[in-house]
Amino acid sequence: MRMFAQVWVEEATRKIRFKPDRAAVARELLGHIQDLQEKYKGQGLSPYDAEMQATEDMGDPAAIADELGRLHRPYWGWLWRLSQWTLGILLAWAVITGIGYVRNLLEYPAAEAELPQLPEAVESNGAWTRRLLEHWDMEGSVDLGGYRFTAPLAYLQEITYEGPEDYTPLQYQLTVCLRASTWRFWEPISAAQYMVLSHDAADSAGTRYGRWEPGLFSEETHRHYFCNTYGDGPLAVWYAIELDIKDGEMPDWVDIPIGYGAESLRVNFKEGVVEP
Amino acid sequence: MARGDTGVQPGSTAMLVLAVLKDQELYGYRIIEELAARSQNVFQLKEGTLYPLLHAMEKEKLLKGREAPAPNGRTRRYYRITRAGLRVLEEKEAAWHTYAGAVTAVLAGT
Repeated sequence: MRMFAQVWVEEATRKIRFKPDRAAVARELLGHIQDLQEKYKGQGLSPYDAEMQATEDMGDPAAIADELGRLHRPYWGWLWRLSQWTLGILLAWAVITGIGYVRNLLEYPAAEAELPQLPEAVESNGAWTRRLLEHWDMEGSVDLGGYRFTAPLAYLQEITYEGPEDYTPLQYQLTVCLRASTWRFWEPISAAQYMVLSHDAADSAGTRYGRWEPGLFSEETHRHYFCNTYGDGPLAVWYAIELDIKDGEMPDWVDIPIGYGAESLRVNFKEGVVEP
Repeated sequence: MARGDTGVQPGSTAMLVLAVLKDQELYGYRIIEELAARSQNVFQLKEGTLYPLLHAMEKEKLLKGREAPAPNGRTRRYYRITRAGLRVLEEKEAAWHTYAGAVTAVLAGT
């Protein structure tokens, strides 16, 4: 049967159901035809005639297809393939779960630690009352000194005191929930407050916020801020930064100092993002 | 029927293929060349029919095939005889000699 080599091979292998086997047998048969072609070309035949003669020599592809189809039953091939798929899926599952597990372990080592949550609309203990006025879900992150900072939540509360003592509390308090994380396990983050309290914070209205130490700052130019750390683990620390917003006038943004240097990040409430 | 008995009859093409591969590893095209050369062109296999035979013998574990790059850059499938193949070849060779001897003796007696 005179035909092109490729056609002959396809015809002869078409009953092999398992694709990898079919490809391998096709390679083998095509190699044989090419060897025959070389022989005939060496004898002076044109490339076309050599190819035709070669496929003629190979015999009837339909008969060979029947034989090969009978020999290469697909069951074991598919079973093998199936076992590979199963193994692949199991491995992928193990890796994904493993990564999730390790990440959880590293990022939230103290599972019971209190993580930042939006407070209730009104929280009161009889004397102190804190009312939630506004909150912001902040997006974005800033990379500083090998650490990544995000501030997913910020909220403004009004605070009143009606207790027995003659005491005027802060009236408005802005809380920024700041999170620092790193993958550099050999350089874990310090949970100490000075990480974010080394120098003054400032806002868009030009107000400066200093660490609260009585008598150190004048009330006119400085307001105080405070920082709580919690949920701290080796690779992630949460800070709750509390800023005194004296008149309840929210600034557009606040620059929060990071570390001992002049680095800071800007929490932009108007845009809802954390930016450098 | 014991493994290796199928197809390999004394004097069959399968037995000849085993004999050709007894001391060397060859790919299909060369097996046919070798058969033709050793038999002074008496055994000329239809090229395509060799492969179902080789694959059947590999399935019966008489041969072992492996793909390897040939010097010309093409990938070829080389076949070598297995221990089971050698055993079958020895048996069939012995059976063949008995048979051929008997035929010769009968012919000589005519």
